[in-house]
Amino acid sequence: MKKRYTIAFTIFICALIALFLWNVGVGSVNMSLGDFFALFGKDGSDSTLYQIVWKIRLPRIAAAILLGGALSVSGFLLQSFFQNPIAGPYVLGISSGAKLVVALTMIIFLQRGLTLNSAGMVIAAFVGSLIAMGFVLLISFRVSKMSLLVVCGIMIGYICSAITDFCVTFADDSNIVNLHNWSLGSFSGMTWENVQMIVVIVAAGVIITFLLAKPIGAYQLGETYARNMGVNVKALRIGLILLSSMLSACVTAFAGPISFVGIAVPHLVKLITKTAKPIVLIPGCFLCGAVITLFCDGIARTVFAPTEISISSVTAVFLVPVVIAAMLRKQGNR
Amino acid sequence: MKKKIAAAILAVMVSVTALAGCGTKENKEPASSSDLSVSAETQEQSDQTADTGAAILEDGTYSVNVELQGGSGRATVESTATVTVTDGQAMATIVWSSTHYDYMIVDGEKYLNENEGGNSTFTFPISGVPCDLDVIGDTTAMSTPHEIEYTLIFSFPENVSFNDLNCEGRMNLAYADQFSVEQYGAYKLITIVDSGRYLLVPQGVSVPTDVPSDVVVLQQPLTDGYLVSSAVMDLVCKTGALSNIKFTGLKEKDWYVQEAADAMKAGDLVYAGKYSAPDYELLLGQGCKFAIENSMILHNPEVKEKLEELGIPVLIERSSYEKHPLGRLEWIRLFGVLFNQEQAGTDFFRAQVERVQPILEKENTGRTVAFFAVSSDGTITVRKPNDYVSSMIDLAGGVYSLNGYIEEEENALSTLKMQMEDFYVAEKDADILIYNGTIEGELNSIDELIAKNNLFADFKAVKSGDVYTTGSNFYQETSATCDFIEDLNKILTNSSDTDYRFIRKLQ
Repeated sequence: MKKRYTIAFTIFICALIALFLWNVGVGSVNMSLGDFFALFGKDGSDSTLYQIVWKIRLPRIAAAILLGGALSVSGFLLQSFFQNPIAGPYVLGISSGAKLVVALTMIIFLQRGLTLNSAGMVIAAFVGSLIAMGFVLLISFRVSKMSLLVVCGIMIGYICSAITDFCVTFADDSNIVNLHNWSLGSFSGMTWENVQMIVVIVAAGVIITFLLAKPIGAYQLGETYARNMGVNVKALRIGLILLSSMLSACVTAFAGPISFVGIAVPHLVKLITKTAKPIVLIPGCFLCGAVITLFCDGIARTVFAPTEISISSVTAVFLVPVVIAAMLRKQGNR
Repeated sequence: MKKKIAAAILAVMVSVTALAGCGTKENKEPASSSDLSVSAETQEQSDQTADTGAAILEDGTYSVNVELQGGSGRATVESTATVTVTDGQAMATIVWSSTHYDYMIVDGEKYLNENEGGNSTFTFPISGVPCDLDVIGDTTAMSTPHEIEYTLIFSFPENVSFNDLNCEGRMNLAYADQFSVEQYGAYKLITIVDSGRYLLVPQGVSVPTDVPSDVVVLQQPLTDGYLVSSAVMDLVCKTGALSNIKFTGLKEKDWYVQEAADAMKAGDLVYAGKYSAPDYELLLGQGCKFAIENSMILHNPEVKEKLEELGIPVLIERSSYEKHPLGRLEWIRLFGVLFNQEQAGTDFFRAQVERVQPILEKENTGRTVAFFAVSSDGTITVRKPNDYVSSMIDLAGGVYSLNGYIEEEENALSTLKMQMEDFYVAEKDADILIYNGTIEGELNSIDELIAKNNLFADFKAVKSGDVYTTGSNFYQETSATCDFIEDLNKILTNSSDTDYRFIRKLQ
């Protein structure tokens, strides 16, 4: 079994390196291997190509790796928590909450003639995600059935969407167009300042998740088993919701909602590693999520360049079959 | 089976990766560092501009440097001259170090000394600043009066601090209230409402020190621009500055401005991604030097910030926020300033205003006009009463039928959705219906309108056959504001001239 893990992780790491190089090298502006090495030369940092690689491609690649990984780990946590194969990071209304607060902030700022900067948008999205998460947490204290919590999460999402639509109806028409753009998700325009903030949030979230691998493993075998193993189930539940929401809130805030990565990647990793052990799946999900997101982002920005297609469209094309296959597999197992 | 599924997925991913790698055949080579400087052709154009005349100054009074060359070297002029600009005409006043100059000949015209008894002082026209001017001065210092040839060199002080600059003149705007242009020495400070301040630095003049962080510096010549705001492309074209734009946010098929579509076809204008997701690599790689966006960019602040990080200054235009239709047209003067075509912009604007003046002076016909479109969901999109379209109807001699029906609001919203029953109540008795073909496409017949909703059959205008549609080009052809007012006036006055530019009568 360990050999299988080694092979799987080697594949993930090799794919990540290959995709990293592909994403650095490919874009609207062509770059040969010679050009790439010239960047490290004496006058390399003065060239346009250096600016393109350093200011445009690398921050975008870094964000895709970190946020793709975060989204997958978030999905894994929710699937473990709800024991539901289609539970994804956005099932708890995270993106709808983010969109609502972004919409409100945008409308309030623009109607007063104030300019909202990107940091303001990120903060608004993050706050919105956390508010949605707060509601889910409140409900989680009162319900015992996990399926009910999923339903509540979906309902919170609907309510947020309804309020957003209400606000947008009475806002400027140009805002409506832009909220639509915001809903699509993109890594375009990432900066190193964004990446710095992402690193802090994602690293904290993923490391804490990894440290919780053992209690999560016990929880997967049933609440009673976990209690017998000395796990504080209530605290673990809250921890899982908090961690998952924080990671998906981070993704939503910086890149907007990105579909299916959080749902499909945990299934794919389980399929490849043939294990349900969190200690393997957490780093596996992070690496595989990074690989797939980087791959999809590369497709999104290059295939129809200079038009960039929504990353969610690309992830849907590649990952929906994975989700369907996972569900069929589950049905087959029954 | 599980292995097969996993293998299939991996195979698809690998194939697509390979295909995507091959799919970059249209990739552009990056500009070398030398390409990023002004291209040879553009440089030549700019040099020609410098040869033919100085930058046009806004109306006001300026202190400029003046240097005298030629003659024996005994006579000099005071190093600072006063330049007064009125209606675009610059007049320089120079003071000699001598009292013996009785007249000067400038450009064939004779100018007499204005300061009898004191140092000789003359005021004469100049083309602008900077400029070199060949003049003749007649001195009486010798036994007989003597004409001597000199060259006067006018220039603005160099190496100035922004804090030391004073507003010395400003553009007189007739209708526009969303922007202003002020002259600070050699520099023009452009202020756009809720958008920002932009310091326009002429070619060859250094950027002043201590420029505040909120002021965006635009160094002329402004070439290789990325124009995202499609509504102003027409204005840019009319100033003759299309060659200054290299990238756009619209594809060729989406342009109704023929010059832009032709330029895209010829490859002189390149699609560089839409406003919310520009192709940064393309812009940086091909040396984009500035971007003109509309206020939509304020909802995607990360795009503006990224462009600025890449050294591409962003100007946000707000022409669509002008309440007066001629105010919207007057933005052509701003684009004239930006692209050193100020005279062309001002001439175009004045010609258009003069053309429409007879219509503006006519008495209002009192006929009511509805301007609307039917959305795919059946709701009606109308213009708000304080919008520029409703103003155009009023200027053309009509009455916008929603005046008084909908409350005017002070926000940027120019359109409004109405339910059919409200629209029916408000517009049933309108004398003329104009269908806005720019939103959901043009109509071909009145029957098509009735097919959208049977209630239209009850409308007074439908019964009388006074139903028109605008062309899809209406929104982008901003420079033709006066044509639209003329079209409307023809309809309102039942003119026998039915040769419309934007409007078509439906049968």
